[in-house]
Amino acid sequence: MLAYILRRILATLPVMGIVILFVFLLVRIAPGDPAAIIAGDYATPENIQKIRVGLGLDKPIHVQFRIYVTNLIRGDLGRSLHSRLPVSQLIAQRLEPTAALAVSTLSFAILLAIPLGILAAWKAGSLIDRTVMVFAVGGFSIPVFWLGFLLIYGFSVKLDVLPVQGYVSFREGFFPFITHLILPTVTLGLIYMALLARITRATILEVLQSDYIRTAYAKGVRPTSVLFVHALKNAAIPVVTTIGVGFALLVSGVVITESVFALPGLGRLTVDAVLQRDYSIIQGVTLIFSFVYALVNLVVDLSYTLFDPRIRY
Amino acid sequence: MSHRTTIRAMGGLLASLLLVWAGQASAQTVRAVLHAEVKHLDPHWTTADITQVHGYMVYDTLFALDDKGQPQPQMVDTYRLSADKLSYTFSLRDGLKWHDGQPVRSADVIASLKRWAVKDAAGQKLMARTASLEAINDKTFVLKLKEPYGLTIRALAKEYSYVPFILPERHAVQDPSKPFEGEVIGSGPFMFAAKEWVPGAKTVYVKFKDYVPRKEPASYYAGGKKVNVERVEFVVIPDQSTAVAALGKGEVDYLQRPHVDQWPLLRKDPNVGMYRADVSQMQIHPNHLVPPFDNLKARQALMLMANQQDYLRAIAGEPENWRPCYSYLGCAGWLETDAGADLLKKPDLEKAKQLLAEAGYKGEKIVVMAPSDFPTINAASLTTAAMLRKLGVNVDLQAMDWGTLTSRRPIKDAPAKNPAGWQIFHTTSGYAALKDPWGHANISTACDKAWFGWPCSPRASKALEELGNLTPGTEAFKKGLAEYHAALMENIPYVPLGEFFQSAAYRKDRLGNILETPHTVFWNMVKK
Repeated sequence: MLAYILRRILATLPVMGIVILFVFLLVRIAPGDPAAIIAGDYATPENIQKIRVGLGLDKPIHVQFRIYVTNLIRGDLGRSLHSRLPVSQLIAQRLEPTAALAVSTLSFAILLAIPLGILAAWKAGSLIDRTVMVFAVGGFSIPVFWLGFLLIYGFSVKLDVLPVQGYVSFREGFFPFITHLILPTVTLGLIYMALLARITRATILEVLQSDYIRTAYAKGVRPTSVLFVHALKNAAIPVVTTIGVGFALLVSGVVITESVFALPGLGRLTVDAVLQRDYSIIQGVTLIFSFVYALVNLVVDLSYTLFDPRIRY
Repeated sequence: MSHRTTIRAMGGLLASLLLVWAGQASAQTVRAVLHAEVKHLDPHWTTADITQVHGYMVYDTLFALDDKGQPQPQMVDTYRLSADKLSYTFSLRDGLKWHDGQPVRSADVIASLKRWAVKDAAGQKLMARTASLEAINDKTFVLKLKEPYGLTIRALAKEYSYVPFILPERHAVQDPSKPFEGEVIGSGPFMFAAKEWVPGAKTVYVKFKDYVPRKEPASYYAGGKKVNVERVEFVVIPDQSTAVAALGKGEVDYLQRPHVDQWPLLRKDPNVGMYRADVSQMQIHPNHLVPPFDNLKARQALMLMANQQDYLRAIAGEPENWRPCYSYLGCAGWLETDAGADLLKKPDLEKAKQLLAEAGYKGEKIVVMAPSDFPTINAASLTTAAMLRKLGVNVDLQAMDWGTLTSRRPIKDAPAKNPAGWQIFHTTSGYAALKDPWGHANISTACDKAWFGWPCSPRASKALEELGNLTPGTEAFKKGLAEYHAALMENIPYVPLGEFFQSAAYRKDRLGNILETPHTVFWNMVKK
């Protein structure tokens, strides 16, 4: 197993190398000039050029790349072109809100989706099944920002029971931490719940057709045990894969929810960096996301061994 | 667990979840949502307005403008001008300290002015006329001019980018093409809380307890900068609707620039007050180097096409939110004049079409760059595209983000030669810039050295230079101003599209004594 893990980690290195090169070149080829953005609207072309030189952006691209890779090997992700703070510090500042939202969203989604998916599969074709599926389709179709605004209007503005926006660290108080997470969690969680419920239903339905399930019923095993012990375990692999992909997406790409609720997460950091042409941050977060995706895939693959004893690495 | 226990536990959880969020900061903290996030901390490095707001928090200036637009001493205690008008002797106020406790010295001032003047247009004009700038002692320094310059004090009181903030010498001697290295240390009324800074999310300032304000009452950026709150947080809320909801709920106290679409909602809230914080002029900038706008007649056609009411309605909605203005230099300001503005006052599409044809336009594509992430500028761009199409112009309206536009703006080539070339872009200038043509880059007519668009008018450049040497309020000044404005109208460096108002919104049950300045300042403000 350890050898497998090491092999997988080593296999990500060439992938990340390609990502580094690709992103480095892509941001510099794309239109946009960070020096002009930094200089501001009233700056003259001469002042913009001075800033460009000051940031080293006038150097040939291969020289810039060499400097970047040399620093990267030393573990230095560089400094933001704008704030001049280390990219690693900027990412670290955003990790807690991102992780909190990802964990709360997935927890909310899993706790609701799996029972709903199992229920729908168990009562396939019934009114319950159709209701759950309509709910799932609705959850999947509703635009995130619209739902977010609706929840803000209902729970924050009209009922005044939850805050409108912002993130409070759990270090500043458990209740403010939780209350600030509720609305963004529900907003995002409904989409993942919809997706997970549908996948759970589909895989459970398939598993319920199996011989061993028929045998279990024939042996007099209770339906709940059949569903939650025998069927769910055998249907877990696609569900876990989807959860893994969902977690990776939650870490990297929920900028709309972060914008609506003013959460200082990695999604907003990335989009702001793209709009401001902050090359260092774009490169840094892309590298981190690549690593996270690789790690999540590894964890998901390893988790298969828990559900299917036939799988060994 | 029994059913009863389960129910009790769930009830407790529900009660907890129903607790009203009491996360309001203390009563002495002001939470403000500004128009942008603080990204850059060196006000001599960037012209970004938000960095100037940051500058006003932590730094101070030698002079500042009062609410009548007159420069008043700020860090300066006394100053005198020699009889030959060539020598200014300045003495600094007692008690000026840096945030690290060290006294402010003449050496800090001199280094800061030199650094500021490297990039600032008003500073460059001042330094070009300066023979020497030297310290007599730690509190007194002398500026010796090569020739009398009536705008010396006004330059030192400049209120917009680059504001001549005074930095510690060890920062001011660093290369201005890079942000200074080192902790942010100013002598202003607030200290920057570096450890709490989360770029893109929150910037925090705390009261500088050793700041000694002037004794005069606060007036615009001048007068006593008395701080009545302990802490100010600039909170980033990217979405306008969320920001307005947060203000309504009291999660924030102040919104610097709510979008005009939100104003009706804000006006309905009895707890919210609004005031006019700034006036902005929208501008069409043609590329003077490429056809058709290298021809004056084509630029005249643009001016005749531009009905200010149409534009302003698209940009700012109801008429109470804007006013037509036929002056390059702002209306209701000290330089207001409409000399030579006939073309602007009477739009005429037929005449515009005729002039465009006379300019040699034969249906080539005209590239209009439209930044979709700037609602007001985008609205103006779309209006221009529509109006040009009415003239029969073949418009290539290119939507992009502001970052892309600023990278394409410096390209001088025609689009036919370079796909990144352009003929028209739009932008705005704030009121402070309009009132200061000597420092306002957008209006430069210095040909190759001018701002993007590269307008070229030796007549206007000469008239501006001469105007700077005249005494405001005199007949000679009025005549010089009329000549300058007429020269601008003759050349049309850009087409002014009138003025729209920028309002700020605040919780009137929580905040009071707000100074109505374009760059929001947090001294004088009280939190109730």
